[in-house]
Amino acid sequence: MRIIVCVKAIPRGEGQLRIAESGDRVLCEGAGGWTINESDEYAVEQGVTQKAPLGATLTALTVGPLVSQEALYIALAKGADKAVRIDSDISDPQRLAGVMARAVEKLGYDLILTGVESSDYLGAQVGTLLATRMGIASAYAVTAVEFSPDRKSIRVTKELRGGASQYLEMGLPALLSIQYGMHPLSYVSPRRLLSARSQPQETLTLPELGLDVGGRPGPFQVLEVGVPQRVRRVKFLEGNSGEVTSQLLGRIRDAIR
Amino acid sequence: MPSGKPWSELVVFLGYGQYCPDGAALHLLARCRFLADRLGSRLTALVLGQELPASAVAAAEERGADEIVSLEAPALAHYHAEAFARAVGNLLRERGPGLFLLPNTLEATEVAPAVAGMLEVPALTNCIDIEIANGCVVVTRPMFWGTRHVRIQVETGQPLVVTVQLRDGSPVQGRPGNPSVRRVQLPAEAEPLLTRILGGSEPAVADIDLTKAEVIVAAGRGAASKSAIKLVEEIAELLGGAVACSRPMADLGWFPRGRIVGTSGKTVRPKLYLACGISGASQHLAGMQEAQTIIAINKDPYAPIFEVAHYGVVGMLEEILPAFIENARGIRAGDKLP
Repeated sequence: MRIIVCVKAIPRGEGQLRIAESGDRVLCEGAGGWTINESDEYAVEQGVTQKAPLGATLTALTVGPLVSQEALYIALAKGADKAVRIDSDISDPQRLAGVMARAVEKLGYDLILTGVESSDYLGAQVGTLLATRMGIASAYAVTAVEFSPDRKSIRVTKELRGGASQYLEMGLPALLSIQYGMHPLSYVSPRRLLSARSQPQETLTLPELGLDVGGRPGPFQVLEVGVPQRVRRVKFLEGNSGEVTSQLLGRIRDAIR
Repeated sequence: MPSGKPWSELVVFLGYGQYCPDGAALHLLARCRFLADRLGSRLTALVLGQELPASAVAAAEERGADEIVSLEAPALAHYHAEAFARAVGNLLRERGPGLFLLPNTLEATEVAPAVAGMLEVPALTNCIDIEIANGCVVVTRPMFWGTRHVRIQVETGQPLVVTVQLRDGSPVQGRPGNPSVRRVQLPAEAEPLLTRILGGSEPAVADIDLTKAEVIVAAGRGAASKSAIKLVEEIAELLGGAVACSRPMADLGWFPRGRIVGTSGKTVRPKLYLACGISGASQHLAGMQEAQTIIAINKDPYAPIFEVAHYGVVGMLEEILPAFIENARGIRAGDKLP
């Protein structure tokens, strides 16, 4: 059984972000400022939990520039057996899914795990796009997985709106986008992270996957990136502690009168 | 970038089965009437299910749809991502290049990229606004935990899938229309589906009904400590309100899942929503942005919760809440105020 978990490295926090002078891009500043996307961390936990009872190998896969290694180190420290990085700065979801499709075909797989979204782009597209492109079964916002005795199919619980659940059955290979909170996140000690940093990683380029580096842009154009406009022009209550408290009291009293 | 020819139509997904018409979809439909008029495109309301609910027809009429298309099959009575994507994808393929819009529910988060992947068209997901600016269609979407917004200009005439959760609370009044109704009985699937639905279950019954609470005090990750939660509970009690939480707080085990507000939990419209230590992921805002008064306390002045809040306090809960409690005794409606 071969499990691939797809991970992404993102900036550690919003404090490191700077809007480029062109106004249409966000830059991340500061060394050591990258970490694994939180949602993907739940997918890694699921892979690590599953691999021992199944006797599976777990490969962590990322697409990104060199800093993306940070996500792979964390996956390795948590228990992934192997790490592969596709060297590319593609961010368009359709093209990303195309690159990942080539990569997972090359690596071989029975099950692909992803998170539900990346906290930077917040698009929640790539997992489902990848499954659609591969023509394999998939489920989004998965909260439980059970393998059939012959390990040829799985039963999956997924979340729907309002916290409702749905139960599905699907044959392998399949792709599951793991919902937040499926397993508690394990702690990665600095020692384990350090040892993960010395483990070998495989790096592949787009030409090595038989893909063009270029690509046509989508039918849209970024006008600007900025700090959100306050939708309702929030009124901040300011002053010393006593003043803030009395304003709070007043606003609350008005609201519930 | 010059805008292309107009889209032949804007297709708005109105909902399925028991979730049709979906409130967020009606809001989006009214907005799309406004857009379609300016773009010179037709407006189509799309319904999936076993039958077409009369309420969906009435709602689509009221908001000025030109056509209602109802795709009907026993397999579409309940949510089935794969069957939904196939039905919608086939319809869009047949109708030519248009703009397909869905309200940003958990289900749409799965169906939108599945349709986009099937048709090999781009998708702009998790948008919070779609408007016309300088004659062009522009969407706004959050990035980086919602701390940044990106405005994207879309070339009309090119097929595109968009999911939107409009942030402005007051629905635009669409002009009524007289839509034609096209009901399509879908034949049994020619190709077998890869997934089989075994069943489903409703959300766990909550210990309290948040949807009926007039006052909600909600705890987010900024309140992830025993002492902070005690303060939140104390305030809820003082105000005669209910305690709710953001999704991560339930994932971390601080609250039962029945207390979640947002796309994974309840949608609430209380008189007062007091958000304590909630940064405001889109999924949370979608469940509480229509509260009458929203007051947010957060240490980060750029937290997205302040986009929907009426009043904000920037600071640490551990400092603000105790001072507040000290002075708040007696604030409950009808009681004598200090």
